[in-house]
Amino acid sequence: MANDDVLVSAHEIGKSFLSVRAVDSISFQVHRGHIFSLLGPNGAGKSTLVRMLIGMLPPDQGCFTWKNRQGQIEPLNRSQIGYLPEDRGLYKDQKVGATLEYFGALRGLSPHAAKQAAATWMSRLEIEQYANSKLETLSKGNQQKVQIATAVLHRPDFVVLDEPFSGLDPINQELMLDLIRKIRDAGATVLLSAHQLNLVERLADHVLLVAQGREVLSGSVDEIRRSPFGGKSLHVEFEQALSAESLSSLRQMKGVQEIVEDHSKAITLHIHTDQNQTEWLNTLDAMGKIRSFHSDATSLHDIYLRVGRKAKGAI
Amino acid sequence: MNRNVFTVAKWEFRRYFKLRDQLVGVASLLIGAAIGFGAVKFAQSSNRVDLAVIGSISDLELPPNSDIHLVPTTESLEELRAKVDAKKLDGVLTLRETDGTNPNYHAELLVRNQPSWLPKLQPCLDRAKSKLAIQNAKLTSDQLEQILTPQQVTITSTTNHLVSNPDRLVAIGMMSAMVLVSFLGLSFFMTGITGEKQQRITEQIVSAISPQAWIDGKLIGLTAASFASTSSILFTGLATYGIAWLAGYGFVLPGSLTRWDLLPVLLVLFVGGAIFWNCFYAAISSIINDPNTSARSGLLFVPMLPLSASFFAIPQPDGLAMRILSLIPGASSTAMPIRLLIGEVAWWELAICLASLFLGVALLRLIAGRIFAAGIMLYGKEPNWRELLHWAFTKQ
Repeated sequence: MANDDVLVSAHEIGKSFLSVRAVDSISFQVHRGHIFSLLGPNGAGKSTLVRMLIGMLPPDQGCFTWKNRQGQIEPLNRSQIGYLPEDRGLYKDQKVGATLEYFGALRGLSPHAAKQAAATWMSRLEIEQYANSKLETLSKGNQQKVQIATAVLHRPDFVVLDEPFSGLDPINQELMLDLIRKIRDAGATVLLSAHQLNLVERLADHVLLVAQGREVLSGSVDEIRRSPFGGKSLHVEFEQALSAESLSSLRQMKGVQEIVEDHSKAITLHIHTDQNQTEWLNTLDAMGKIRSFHSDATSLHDIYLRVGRKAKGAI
Repeated sequence: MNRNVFTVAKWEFRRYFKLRDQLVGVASLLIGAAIGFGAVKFAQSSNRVDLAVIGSISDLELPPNSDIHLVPTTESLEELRAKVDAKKLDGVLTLRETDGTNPNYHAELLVRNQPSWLPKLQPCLDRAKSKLAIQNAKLTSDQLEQILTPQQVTITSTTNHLVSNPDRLVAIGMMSAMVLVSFLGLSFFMTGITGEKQQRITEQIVSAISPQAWIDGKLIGLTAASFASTSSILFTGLATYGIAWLAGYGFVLPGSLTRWDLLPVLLVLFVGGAIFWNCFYAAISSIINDPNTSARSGLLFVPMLPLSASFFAIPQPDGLAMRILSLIPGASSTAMPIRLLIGEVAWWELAICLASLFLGVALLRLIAGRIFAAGIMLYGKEPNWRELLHWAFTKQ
């Protein structure tokens, strides 16, 4: 990736709140036109990092560098940012159309342009029939759509979506997934923070995993899978429950990253990518009669869980 | 004005000032006033008391608009009693002079029930009694007239500045209007800032515009909304006054109501005072998470003390207390208008008052902006005094 494709670079960013180090020397680059996913357990420092990135909080340490399309460094332009915060809400006693126009105007659109953009987005999100309805009369999912429209109706260059899928049913989650792709395809760069990792996996060009304010993993989804937290997952179900000794000896074996007991007779064994699957099948068969066995690449979900557990000192 | 500030101001004004609701409110109050005055007028017309008088009716002097109508009669007491029983008369007053060295009246009233109008008749009887006593003192009619005429006092003011009671009422009205503006500001800012914080709106707005632009827009929009609401209440009051006048109540128009020369200064004082305290409300509202449990909610009522203090100083508008209050930003918006209307204000006092108000507003806006910027992003806990002072005096 050419360096001049970079929209924003974070250099050794740090932030403390009293004695708590919320973000500790994190550096990353967000490339123009990419969907950049920021992942991490609750309290990992994601929201603080995002707030610093878009200028709502000043970092104690480090700085952000923004570049225009010509590759020249320029100051942060708030009107070019679309932000959907995790802690969000809208004026429940106000009409949907008026609310969208207000946010459009705040983001720099003229009254006429804001009106047009509001109409376009209500149509795109299939909520145009609620233009004159008060927000409090809408379902949670439709309120969420209005919320997202307020963040993107001014066609920003950089869109930050913190938990955009929360509150949406599976159908609307797919609609949102499609919408985020369309936002990216229209030329915007997206920073996405979400806990629906199966969806993130389908969207993200780049993932930054943080825990306790520090970077744990960074790269494309494939690169993350090939990392020490990635590898393969062997799902094994035995005829009878494995003894504690067998489980203990399994944990001691070379190449085992983690063992998760799904239930008394089933385990999931996380192993490094370079491990031989057939050898493992033989080893497991010697421990007990196998009823079923299948393997897959470790999902982002599993990697996320392992990072979370590691952050808590569990592994 | 910054474009974002204007956008926020327009939005906030429209959120809190609903013209249709205000018009409905004003119309309801005016209809209520018209019905009320009509009802009073009707009740008064049905309060006519017809009182037959046996004896010297010429000695009884009732006020011109009195409900009691004295009817001279030549009928016998029995005939009159029958009329009272038949409710054709409200009563019969028998008034006879007694004999002796100290002549007096003997008054006897024949009625069906206890007369509620007796207190209105009593002064008339008392006056007749006094008149009789003076006449028996052998005074000439001129002497008698002189005794009965109240002493007239001619007031001459060296400054041509005389204050009537209606003028004082206007001053109290203006002070009350300012307190009302402040109360409305308090409620608007509580719902406009604490409410938004509770609804988690703040973060999305602050990502688009600076907190200072947001608070400036709110200050303008919500102050305008509180003035517009107060104006509609004042309009209702004036219209009620007009209805009362039409209904025949002879109110006097206070001279202070026509002091148009004071209007620009009064407007500056009112708007400046309202913005001053609204800055305070904005700062405090931004640090409150839940008004039901917050330890800081009481602070929101602090402005009522200096604003209301002027009320107690109205009897002496140029006393030391009012002179001091009229120079302090926050209190001057009620104290100085009162002094301007019913007191005497030196030019330098007005200059100091306006300068201190401008400086106070500028300083409080800056401090409130800093507290607001930090406070609106703080959830879950309220800052302590040390943190508040740190925010107030540290550039973010």
